[in-house]
Amino acid sequence: MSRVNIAVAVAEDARGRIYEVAAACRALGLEHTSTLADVGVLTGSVEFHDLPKLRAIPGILAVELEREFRSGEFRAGR
Amino acid sequence: MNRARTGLPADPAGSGHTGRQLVLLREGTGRAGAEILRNATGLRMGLSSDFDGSVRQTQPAPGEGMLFERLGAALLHGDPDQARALAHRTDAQTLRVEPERYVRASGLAEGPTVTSAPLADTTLATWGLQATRIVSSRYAGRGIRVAMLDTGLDLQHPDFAGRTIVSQAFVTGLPVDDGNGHGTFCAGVACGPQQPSQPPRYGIAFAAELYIAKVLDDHAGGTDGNILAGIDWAVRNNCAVISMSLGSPVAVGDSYPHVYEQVAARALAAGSLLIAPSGNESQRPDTIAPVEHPANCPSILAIGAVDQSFAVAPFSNGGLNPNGGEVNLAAPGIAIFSAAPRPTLYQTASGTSMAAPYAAGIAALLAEANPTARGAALQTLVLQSFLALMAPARDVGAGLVQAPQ
Repeated sequence: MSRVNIAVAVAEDARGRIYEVAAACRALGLEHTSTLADVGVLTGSVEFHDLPKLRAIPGILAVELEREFRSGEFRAGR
Repeated sequence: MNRARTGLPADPAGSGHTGRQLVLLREGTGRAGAEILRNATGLRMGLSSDFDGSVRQTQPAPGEGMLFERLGAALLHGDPDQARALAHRTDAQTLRVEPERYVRASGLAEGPTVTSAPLADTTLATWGLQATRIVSSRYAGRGIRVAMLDTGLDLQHPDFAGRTIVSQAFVTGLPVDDGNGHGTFCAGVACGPQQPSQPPRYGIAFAAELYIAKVLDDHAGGTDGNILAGIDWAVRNNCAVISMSLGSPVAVGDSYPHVYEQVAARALAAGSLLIAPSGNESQRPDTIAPVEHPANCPSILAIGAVDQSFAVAPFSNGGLNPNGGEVNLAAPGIAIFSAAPRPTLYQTASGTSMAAPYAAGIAALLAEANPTARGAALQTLVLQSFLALMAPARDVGAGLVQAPQ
């Protein structure tokens, strides 16, 4: 199975217990990288097949696979 | 504009408005717009295509309106109450109603106009600062924290000497120093100095406090984890403005990402306004790409790019998707001059990445001018600070962002 990086949004009414939600995620396989308490997000990695279990945890609003970003490349100036 | 010839009233109140109303119609409304406006206002409507295009013939007299069907816009010369009623209609064809402004042949001293010749950099200021009325603004972002989420900053650049700069790297193994140039460029536009070591002036909020988050590596790539951590850091540090010239393409029909929308909404609630570029995937006129992620979140301002004639930049993405996928405002994004890491010091570049920091810098000026307006209130102020353009709202939103005076 493949392991995927994810971002987890914690529901507004669960932000006060974000560390409990994080613990519940870890119990279901989340390799927890960071807790962004000011915006209510957890990041980390998980086995792809465990995603539905994470999404079912009370207090979780959304679980999304990590995207890659880039800045807009410089274009010819003039 | 010759007022006697067009029958326009004088402007005794000095409002800058002619008393006529500009109406923006939904793309594709075409000639049907004449009937829609006639039914809504009772004005006699003419079609510009029925005339030879001369100014005299396409200027509506009192009681008349003129539909410029190829532009998707109309000019109404009627009772202001009729236009106000139109502004409150909720039908799908009428996008925006604005009072028409007087314009001048030379807009450089008085501010930009939609009929001026193309702007150019001068020894005083870049064309972008002229277009957005930065130089005449009394504000400088004093006391405002502006976060730049990008490739970092050349912390030793002479134009940032003496500035308050707080920095944090979120890319493993790399310092904040900018090994790419994109971050230094964008920070230069949003917060560059009033008097750079080499003219012209190119920066906006020259007195703002800079919060530099390196969330992209020196190849200008990054991941959600870094960027979300950067937003969290900026919110925690009470940054009123968070500028992030980055993105990830989406397809027509794609929805916005819920994690980012929650983050942006929470940032707004905490007093931080997020601003992002619409993206550079279009190849106009043949292909228009949709506003990319994360600018497609409803709570993040999406900024498109225009050129020195206020025309839409050929690469600038458009508002093809609903529910956040709209362009909110436009800003200068072609031939933009700004800072580069040493030893180059300066460079000129184009892109919506260059446009977003214009809106961010102006947001900092508005934040200084309105000390209690933060988060959603500041967002509203930014959205109200624009010069209407004769371009589709799909591409430029409300119009060209303008600095408070």
